[in-house]
Amino acid sequence: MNDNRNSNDMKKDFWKSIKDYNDDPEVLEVKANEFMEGVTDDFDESKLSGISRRKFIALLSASTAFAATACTDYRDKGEIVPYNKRPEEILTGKANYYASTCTGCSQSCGILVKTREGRPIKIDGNPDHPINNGKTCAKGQASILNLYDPERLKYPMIQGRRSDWKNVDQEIISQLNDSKKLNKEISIVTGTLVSPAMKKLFDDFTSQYPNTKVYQIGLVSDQIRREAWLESYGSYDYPAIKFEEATIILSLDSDFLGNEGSFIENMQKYTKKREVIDKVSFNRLYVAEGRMSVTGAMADYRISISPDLQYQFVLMLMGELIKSGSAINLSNDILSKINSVSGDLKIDKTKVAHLLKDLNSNRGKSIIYAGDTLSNDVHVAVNLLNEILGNTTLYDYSSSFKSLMHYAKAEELSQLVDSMNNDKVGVVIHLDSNPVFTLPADFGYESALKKVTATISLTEAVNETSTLCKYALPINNQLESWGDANYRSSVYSLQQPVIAPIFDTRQKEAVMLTWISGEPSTYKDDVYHKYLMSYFNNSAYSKRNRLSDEKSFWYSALHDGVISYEEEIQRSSFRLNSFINTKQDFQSNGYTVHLTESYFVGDGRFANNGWLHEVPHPINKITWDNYASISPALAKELNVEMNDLIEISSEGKTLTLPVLVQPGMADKTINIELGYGRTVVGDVGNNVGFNAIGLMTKNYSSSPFVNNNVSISKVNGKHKLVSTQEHHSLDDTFVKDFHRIRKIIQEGTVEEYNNDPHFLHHEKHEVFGITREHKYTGVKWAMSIDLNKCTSCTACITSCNVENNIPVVGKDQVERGREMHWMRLDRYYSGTPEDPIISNQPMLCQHCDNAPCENVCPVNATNHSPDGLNQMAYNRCVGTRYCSNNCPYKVRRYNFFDFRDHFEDEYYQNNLTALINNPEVTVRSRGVMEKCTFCVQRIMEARSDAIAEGRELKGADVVTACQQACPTNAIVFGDANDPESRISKLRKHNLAYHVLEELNIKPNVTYIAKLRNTHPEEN
Amino acid sequence: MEIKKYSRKSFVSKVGKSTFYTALASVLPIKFLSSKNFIRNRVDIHIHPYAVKRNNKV
Repeated sequence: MNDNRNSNDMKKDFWKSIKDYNDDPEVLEVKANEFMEGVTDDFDESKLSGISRRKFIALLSASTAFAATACTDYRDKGEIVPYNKRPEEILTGKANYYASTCTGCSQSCGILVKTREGRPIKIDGNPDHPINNGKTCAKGQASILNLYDPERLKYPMIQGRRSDWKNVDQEIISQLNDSKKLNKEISIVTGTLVSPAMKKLFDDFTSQYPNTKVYQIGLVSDQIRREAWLESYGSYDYPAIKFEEATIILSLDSDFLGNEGSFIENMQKYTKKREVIDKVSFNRLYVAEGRMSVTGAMADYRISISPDLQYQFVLMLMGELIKSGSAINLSNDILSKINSVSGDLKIDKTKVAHLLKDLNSNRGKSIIYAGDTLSNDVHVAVNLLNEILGNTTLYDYSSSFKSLMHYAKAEELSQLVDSMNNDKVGVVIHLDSNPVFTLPADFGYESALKKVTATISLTEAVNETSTLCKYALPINNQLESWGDANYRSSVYSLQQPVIAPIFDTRQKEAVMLTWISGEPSTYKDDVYHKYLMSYFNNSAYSKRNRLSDEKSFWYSALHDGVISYEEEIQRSSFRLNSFINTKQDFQSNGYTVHLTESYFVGDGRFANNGWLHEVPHPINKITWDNYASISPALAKELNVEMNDLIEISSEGKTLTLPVLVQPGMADKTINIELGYGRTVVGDVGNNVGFNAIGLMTKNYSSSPFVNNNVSISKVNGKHKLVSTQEHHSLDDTFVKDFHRIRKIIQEGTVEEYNNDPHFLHHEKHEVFGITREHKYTGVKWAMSIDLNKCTSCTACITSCNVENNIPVVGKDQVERGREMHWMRLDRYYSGTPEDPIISNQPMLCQHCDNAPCENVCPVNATNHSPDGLNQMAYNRCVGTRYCSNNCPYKVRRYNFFDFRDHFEDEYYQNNLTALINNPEVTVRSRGVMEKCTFCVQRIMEARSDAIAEGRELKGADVVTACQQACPTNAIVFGDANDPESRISKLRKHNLAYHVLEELNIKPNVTYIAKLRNTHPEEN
Repeated sequence: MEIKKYSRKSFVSKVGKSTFYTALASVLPIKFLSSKNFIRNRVDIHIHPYAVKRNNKV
């Protein structure tokens, strides 16, 4: 790596990657060219075949003759006919909405599913749900593609051969009865249980088959947090945190704004103290972490520290803070334990001094929050520290995280495997779980599974476990299923099917009910529906004030999707003995591997979802892969650069994967995301990435996700990592400090703003035009993006992809800069590679009033609408790409191929996946330019509704897909001509600016500058 | 002026060959035959009978 500058020499204020920072020739070349290498190369004449003019014309005419006769597609796609008898629920052309619950993770967010002509096309948040308040994450948005995955299991299978449900049920019931007679264990291995109805079903199953044992597992879950809370307070349920009331937040390797816990809710709460529209009164976020996370990117102060040193860090803070007093009495044992930990943490002392000062002066209004991957001891220490500071006032017991059963510990799972090996287990049922993939290899689960007589996997799609099971049974997708969720106290959500099962699949609970009954013929399609209703009436209905009858209450609950009630988990006092038993992690002199959950594929369940693979990583913008993130210093030590392969070894286990040099990583710490490297998932996800679960062990010393007993070495070979960050870059070689001088990113501090609210505009001057300005009467659409609230969670991009039929193009096309996302999230670094500051900026078509793209189109395919939209007429476009050439923001996307049939051997061409398309948006073909349309289909629908109702169209009638998905409401869209609208106020705000304003193209996307809440004395 | 002699035999032969090749090249018979016998990989979708909708847009 060409590092010809020292770390204190900041050549330019903003940079996009380590190579950009060092002016790598590769990056400079990419910036100099409009398109990636090879795209616009001329033909090599010497390689053309020599053919005479006569022969050419003969071939041409013959081809034309063939084409003329073959120009109709002989494959009959069937007829489109109007309804003879229209179903009551359907109004052709109008969508229906259904409330349900998302099962993408255990958080069980409330969702609204939009359907057209009976098929679901979009998932958004349920605004009535008190936890997610109408928002979903990127996984929730993209999960709709799982319904239309052509590689779903379509019918039951026995030993890999197609069977039918009657046969399967008969055999399994017989196996269950045999196990009962022989007193062998019937093991149920399930994911996180959030459904109380399902819990009751397990109880009923156990009554019928008494030797049943249920094991709850999860690859990355809050198991450690729960176990620590149990030790500290005697309860497996723990309270939520009132982030909206916290003045100081310290996050310890916790990505609570990124993908940990109820992060959608956390984002909303956190950004309540990041409002700029009225008085600016911000919270202050400190993040002490080893990797660069989304939460770290939002930090006002970020401290780089290896995760295995967090315990020491907490005790150091404790030692300093108790000097000024403690809210609880501490015994001498506790005090001596606090002072026993020593050692230099080698962290930024200035930041720690600020942190201590802030925590001291904000006792009772601050919160320290540890990450799910840290050890039990760190969590107990953090619980004590919060008690010392009196921060327990921020614990929200009325909205606690409940558990219906405990997670299985490593010892229990080892015992299960032993029983399987010793023929003590008759039947193993995998209920939507994949332990062959998610459990560390040293459990020996895979080999033990082969020794069990009856192995059953109830799963949506084939996975590593189902291929080893005798019975692979297809279950309904979440959109085809009934269910309920009570993951949070005071909230009971219902899940309803919005489409009848497409294939010969069954609800997993219904399958189990059939086995309980002992007779396959008892199965009916609505058996679980009735069971759920009965459970609901006996629990939810009977506990409420009954103002209506059971049936009406059920229907209204289904209509709303959620019932709120009052419930508080029991509070108890902190058990000081729990802290006495904690111990410092073994500190290595070597390297530490930190394994974390992927932002998009979760525990691997979304590995076959093309949208989630293609959406760029929020920090490093890598697509279609995982990697080992290391610091620039470690890269120098190992003499590696991006794409080089390294081998990580730990206790006999090795993993070879490519390197990503990530600014801000703690030294000697390697971060790898889990969920990748699946081998049995489907054409899209097979062998994408590297399976880091191979580095986990059941015999961990402190945390299964932090391993500080590793060695690393460089190995031969490279693996190309594809990042979108360098794509669509503006060429800044001609102008030094381009991003600062051209003010693409404008930031300040809270103190600067409070002293001078107009600080952003001192250097601004009026930009004159040479033509008369067009006056927009009526509605004029505009958008504002508040950079104080944008966390780069990428929900906006995924929502846009689903709404606008954006195709998945695959890794090789992304490498050529041909990703089709209409919206991108640019991430800029400033500062140094060792201590970077991250600035995020969503970039989309700015719908400029003086759009440079409109003037240059030779066929007038792009023009301007009377309400301020920059429009695209796809059928006029001939693909000159002049508009994209002229766009200074590089937001236009060209269809180099027909991506319907290009990706993965016509993955999109099958009849099932084609159903995902939104009928309100054109599906673009090859040779056509496309870009963000400000969801013109939603604008047109709102306009036609307004006309039908005889009223004026208002700005608030339209919500764009990105705005709807944004969890923090950073995106505001509306009528700029309405002075009372929020968008108008934001456009006139002191912190408002436009990107590249000096070009006088008058963009209609306003950015609200980010303010960092740093200490006044630093400024 | 010399007129090339074109016998009946060669004319019929030419027409016959053209017809044969045109029929071969034509996919119309293939379309006709295949559209009826083509196994359609159609996916049938149905609204769930017990789903309760709510039609307020967000």
